[in-house]
Amino acid sequence: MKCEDFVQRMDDYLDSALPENEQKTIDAHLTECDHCRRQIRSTQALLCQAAALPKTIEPDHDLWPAVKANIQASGMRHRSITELARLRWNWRVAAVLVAIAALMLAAMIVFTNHRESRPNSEPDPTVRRNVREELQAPKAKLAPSSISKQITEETTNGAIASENSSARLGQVKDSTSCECEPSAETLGVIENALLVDESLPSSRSVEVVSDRLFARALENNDDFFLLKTSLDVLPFPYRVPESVRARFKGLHIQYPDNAGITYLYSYTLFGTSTPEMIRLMKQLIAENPSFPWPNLALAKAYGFPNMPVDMSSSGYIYNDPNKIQTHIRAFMKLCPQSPEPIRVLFPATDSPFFSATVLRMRELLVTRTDTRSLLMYPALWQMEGDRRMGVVDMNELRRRLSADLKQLQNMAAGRPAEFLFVLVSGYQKIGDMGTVRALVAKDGSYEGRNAFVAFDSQEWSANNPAPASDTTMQVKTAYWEKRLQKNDEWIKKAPESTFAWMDRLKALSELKGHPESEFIAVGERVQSLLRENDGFYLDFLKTASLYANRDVRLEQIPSMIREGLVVAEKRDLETKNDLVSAEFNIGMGRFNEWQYAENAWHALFDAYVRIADMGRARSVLDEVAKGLVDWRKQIADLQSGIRPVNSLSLSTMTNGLVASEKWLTEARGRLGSGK
Amino acid sequence: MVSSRPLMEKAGYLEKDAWDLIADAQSGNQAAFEEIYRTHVGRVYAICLRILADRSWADDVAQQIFFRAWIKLHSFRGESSFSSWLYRLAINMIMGELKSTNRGNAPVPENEHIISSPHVEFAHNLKLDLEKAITLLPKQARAVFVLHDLEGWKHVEIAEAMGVAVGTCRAQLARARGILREVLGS
Repeated sequence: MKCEDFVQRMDDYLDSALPENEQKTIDAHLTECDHCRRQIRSTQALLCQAAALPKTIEPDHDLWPAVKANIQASGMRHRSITELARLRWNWRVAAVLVAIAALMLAAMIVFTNHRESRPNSEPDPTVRRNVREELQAPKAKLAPSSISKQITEETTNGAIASENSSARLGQVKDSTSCECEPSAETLGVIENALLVDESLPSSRSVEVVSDRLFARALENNDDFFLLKTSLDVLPFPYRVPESVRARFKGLHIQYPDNAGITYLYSYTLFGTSTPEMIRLMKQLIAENPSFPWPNLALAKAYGFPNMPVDMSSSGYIYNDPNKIQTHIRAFMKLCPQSPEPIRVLFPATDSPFFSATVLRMRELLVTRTDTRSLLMYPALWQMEGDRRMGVVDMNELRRRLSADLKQLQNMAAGRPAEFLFVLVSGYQKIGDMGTVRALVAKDGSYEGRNAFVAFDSQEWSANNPAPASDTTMQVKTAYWEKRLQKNDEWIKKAPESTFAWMDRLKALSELKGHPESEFIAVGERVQSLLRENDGFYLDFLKTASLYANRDVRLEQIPSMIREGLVVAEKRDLETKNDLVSAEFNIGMGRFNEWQYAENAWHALFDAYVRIADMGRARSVLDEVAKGLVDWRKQIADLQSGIRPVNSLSLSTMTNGLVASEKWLTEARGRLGSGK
Repeated sequence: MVSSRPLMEKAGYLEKDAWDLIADAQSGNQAAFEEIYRTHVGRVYAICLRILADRSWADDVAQQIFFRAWIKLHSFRGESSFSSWLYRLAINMIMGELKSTNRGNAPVPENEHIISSPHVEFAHNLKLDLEKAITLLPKQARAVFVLHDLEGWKHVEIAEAMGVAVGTCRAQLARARGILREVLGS
């Protein structure tokens, strides 16, 4: 295609009015021709500007008195409109009417002015305001769209909307225009909202930030980007508080025809009602092709999970790399200056598209200074080193990364705690561990201190490998004493770090010379931290195993294991989503939980055998056998196709089951032979 | 604070009220029509001002549009939304105005190359915003740009309203976008 051909077709291309093959020809031309690419970008920028113009302009003065005068002058006509229609042919009649109207107009202006000076004749201003407010979103009320109608019908209660907001919400700007960027003012509000109490773990602070952004949105004329960011900071599709969904449902009920609100509401369905979310987003695109955001929401859904596609495979129902590409392209066409596609690009498999987009994203990202954009750097670095980029010159990559880091460090002041991880991930990538250490050592936030403990322990363990199991007790004791000393520093640095306390418990479980009370005190601290901080189920189960290894409070261990499984079940519920097929939900995750629980039972069995309490040891084997019966049934279901599962997961589970059965047989043998 | 009135009920109430207002106005209630006027005047005036590019002309035409709406209100049967009905009526009237007069043509010579236009250079110097830049467009190109890129009309609809061929409409849009790109230096 020649550039002249492109120029002729550009407007149709932008309006998506070309047949698909021509659209593709132009796409191809644009990837090659800088000049035309610049031209299309400047036109897109123009269209975005046009779409952002206000839909209303108030006249300098009130036109109503003049309109009213005309109306009153034509009073006779209005009453006998059909009669007038019959007379229309008669120009003489019309001329007479016009003359009469002119006379009446003059009279009415005098009359009107006189009337308006009488306060009682004015309509009640509050009544007027109410009616006006209700008319503010007239389209919504007169002709609810098919989408909104359906949702409104489905909804019965639970919607939350503030009184204050309801007055303003009439002015919610319809964000169907191609709004790609928040205004500078909104960006400032977002920056402030991201700065929260640094003593909070990030899992808590995102909820604080989300609530805060929602509140700011209500204070700022229900700004679309503030509302959007209040959702973007949450870990969709996982662990999103119901209150957040209810908020947006409430807004949607009030403003069913506002595309921006419909988009936000639909996004909250991500993970719980994904097919519905996909349907609504598609419909939004069909009805408002210039509204960019549904494209990214769909790209995210089709790319779930956001990991290399090789690892994703059949369990992820909506995974479709072609669709990811289509929607990213559509978004980039509408918002050519936005680096947001970085967030959803990774699972797009096609190499040329992937590499071209990554290059473009870098161009865009380096011009940004806002925190939300800067947090995208690790994703960019990860993609730049991906094999889909072709042959990567590692030295060049390292040089570029170092330059990024230098710039990012200059911008680090006053950023939220998460920003530290951008720097840490970058310096780790270039292997500059000295800087990583210095960065995390001086960071006083919750996440920073915990990161320091994790980093320092990793480094310490690398320099001080744990003794092999066949070394002498003396060597082992020396090692664990040394580790215990080091652990004092970690606990001093991050007294709320579950990791540091678990590490201490592990050391004490090995150091039988230390008093049991010391072990129990640390164990209780670990358990209370796990309960306070929504600890990971595995840590509950590991703690149970450590108690068993130390032969301490064995009678409490079964309830500790059960607590771990309850926590695991809670996590399963919180992270359950409909993007993953049922067999994945039930499959490997649950299997791992069961295996870790089984490890704890094994440790407890060993402890009872050590203290020669064979009765209790036998009851532990009964528990294990019960678990095995459940798992045999689960695997049989999966094999028979009642719950289909991929072959790799199935073989892992089957092997696990065989190993557990073997252990059980051997353990029964040990009891039987009285060992 | 949580709203004390169930939202569903509120939504139902609104719908009934808006219809009632139109029905009241249709039966001759001027107070009801004033509410309709106040709701829509900003949008109608924006279209007038952008296409006509002259405040006093936009004032005149906006008044006429509402007067015409009052006269023709009986013909609104609710097949489309009221706002669509009103805006279509407004655009037909604006187009009639544009055709009937030479007023409103921006002083950019129709055939002169846009880049060499002194007005464009002038605009460059002033770093015009889009709103002002639109007023510099030739009137037909301006009308097409406003209707297509701001109001979301299709070429066929614009061509029909303007009484021109669809091809002319497309050409005018390309022209308008080209001029604006130059003027805005984007």
